[in-house]
Amino acid sequence: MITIEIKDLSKKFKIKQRLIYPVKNFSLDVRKGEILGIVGKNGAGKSTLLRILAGIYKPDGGRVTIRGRVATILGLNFGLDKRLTLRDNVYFSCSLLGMSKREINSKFGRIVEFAELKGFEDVKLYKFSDGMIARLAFSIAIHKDFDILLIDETISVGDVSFMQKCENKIFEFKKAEKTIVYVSHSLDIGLCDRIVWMDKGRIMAIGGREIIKKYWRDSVKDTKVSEEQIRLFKEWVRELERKNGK
Amino acid sequence: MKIGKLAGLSWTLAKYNLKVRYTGSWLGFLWYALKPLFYFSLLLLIFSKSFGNTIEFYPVYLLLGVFFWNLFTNATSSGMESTENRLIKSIKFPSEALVISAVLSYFVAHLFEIGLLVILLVYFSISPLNIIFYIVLAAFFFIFLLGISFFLASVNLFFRDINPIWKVIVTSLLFFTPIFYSVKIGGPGQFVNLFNPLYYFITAARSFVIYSEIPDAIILLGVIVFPLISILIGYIIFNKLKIKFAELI
Repeated sequence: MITIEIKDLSKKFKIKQRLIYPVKNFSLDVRKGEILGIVGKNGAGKSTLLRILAGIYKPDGGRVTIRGRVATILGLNFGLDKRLTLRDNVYFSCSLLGMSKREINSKFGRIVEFAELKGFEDVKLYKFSDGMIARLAFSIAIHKDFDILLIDETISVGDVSFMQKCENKIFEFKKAEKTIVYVSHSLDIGLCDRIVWMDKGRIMAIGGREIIKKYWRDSVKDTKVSEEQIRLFKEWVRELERKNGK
Repeated sequence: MKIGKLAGLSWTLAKYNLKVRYTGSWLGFLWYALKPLFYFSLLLLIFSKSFGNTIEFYPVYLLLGVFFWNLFTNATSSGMESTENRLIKSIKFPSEALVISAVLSYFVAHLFEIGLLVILLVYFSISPLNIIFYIVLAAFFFIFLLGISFFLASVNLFFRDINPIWKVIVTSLLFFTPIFYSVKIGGPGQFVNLFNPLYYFITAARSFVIYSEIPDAIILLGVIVFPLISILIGYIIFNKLKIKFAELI
C-alpha cells in the first residue's frame, strides 16, 4: 500500500522579486512500512518538502495524498517553553499535537522514561542541557499515535546511547508497519530502506545505500578535503555497511 | 475542525500563557490587576478635581472606562503578536488557538480586577449585583476583541507596519474615548464617538452598573452589532490567510 503519494509537486517562494523553487516537479511514492531517507545540501528543499507533507506549507502545484495520521519532528525545541517545567511542557506540547488530557495522563510516564528524564519532572526547562531537551522533544513526538512519521535531522542530537535507542525505536516502528521519512544531510542513515538524493528541489538519484556515497562524492567536489578526511570517511562508510549490512 | 476541541486547546494554551508570563516575578499573577489599577489611580489623582465634581460616582465611572480600554489594549496587542510564533512552522495545529488563547488569558486575569470593581460598588452603596450585566457585556466585548485580533494577527504577518500603527491607535483611543471625562449627549464629542466601538461598551457598562438603567437603544445595538461584524470579518480574513503564515515567520 502507498501511504504517501507525491505527484508533480512544486513550491515557489518569492525572494526579492526573484522566484525560487525549493521543490520542483517532485514525484515520489512511499510504501507502508518503509523508511525513506532524504539527503541533500542545505537549501536542497528537504525541509520544505517535509513541511508540505506535514500540511504546514501549501503546495503551489501538483498533489500530495497522505493516507494515515502524521506525526512530525521538525526542528528541535518545537512547542517547548524553557520557562515551564518538564511536566507543564509535556502537557503543553502534547495538547498542541492534538492529544486529549486523558491520553497525556496515560502516556506521561512513558514519555519521561523514554527521554531518560525521571526525577526532573518539576524542573524548569531552562536548567536542562540541549541534549536533554532534544530527548524530551523526540520522546513527545513519537508518543503521539501515528502511521507516518516525518523527521527533520533531530536524532543526531543526544549522546550515542540515546541515538542507539532512537534507532531501535525506529526499527520497532518499522516492524509495526509505520512509514518513516527521515531527512538528513549527515550520512547516518543506514536505517533507510530507500534513499532519495535531492538537489535544487528535484530528485538527483534514488536507490539504496550506494546513493550516500554518490551524494557525498558530489558534495565534496568543490570543497577542499584533505586525503586524511577522505580516508577516514571511507573507513566510516565501510563500518556503517558492516554494521547494517546483511 | 471541532469547536469544542479548539476551545479546549485554547484554554490549555491560555493557562500556560498565564503561567509563563509572570513566573519568577514576586507578585506574579497580581500584576494583571495592578497595571490597570495603577492607570486608574493615576487618572483619578489627576482628574478627580476637574471632573470628579460634575460626574456622579467618578471613581466607578473612571474604573469602568479604564477596564475596557486596558482590556482592549492588551488583548488586541497580544492577539496580534500571537501568530509571530515559530510553532506554526514546526507543528501542524489550528493556529486560531494562538489568537484565542492570547485574548482569553487577559479575560481570565480580568476576573481578579472585577473584585476591585465590586469593592468600589459596595463603598458607594451601588448594588453589586449589577456586576452580572458587566459580565454579559464583557462576553460581547470578548467576541469583539477576538474578531479584531484575528484580523490583526493575520494582516500583521504580511505588513509588519501594522504593529506600530496599532499601538498608536490604541494610545490615542485613551484620549478620544470618554474614559476620564464625559461627552455631552447630542454634542460633537458624542457624534465622533458613534464611530468608536469602545464608546458603546463603556457607555453601556456605565448605565448598567452605576445607574442601574438600560442604555439607549443605539448603544445596545452597537454592543451587539460590533462584535458580530468584527468576528465575521476578522475570522474570514484569518481563515483565508492562515495557510500562508508558516512561510512568513
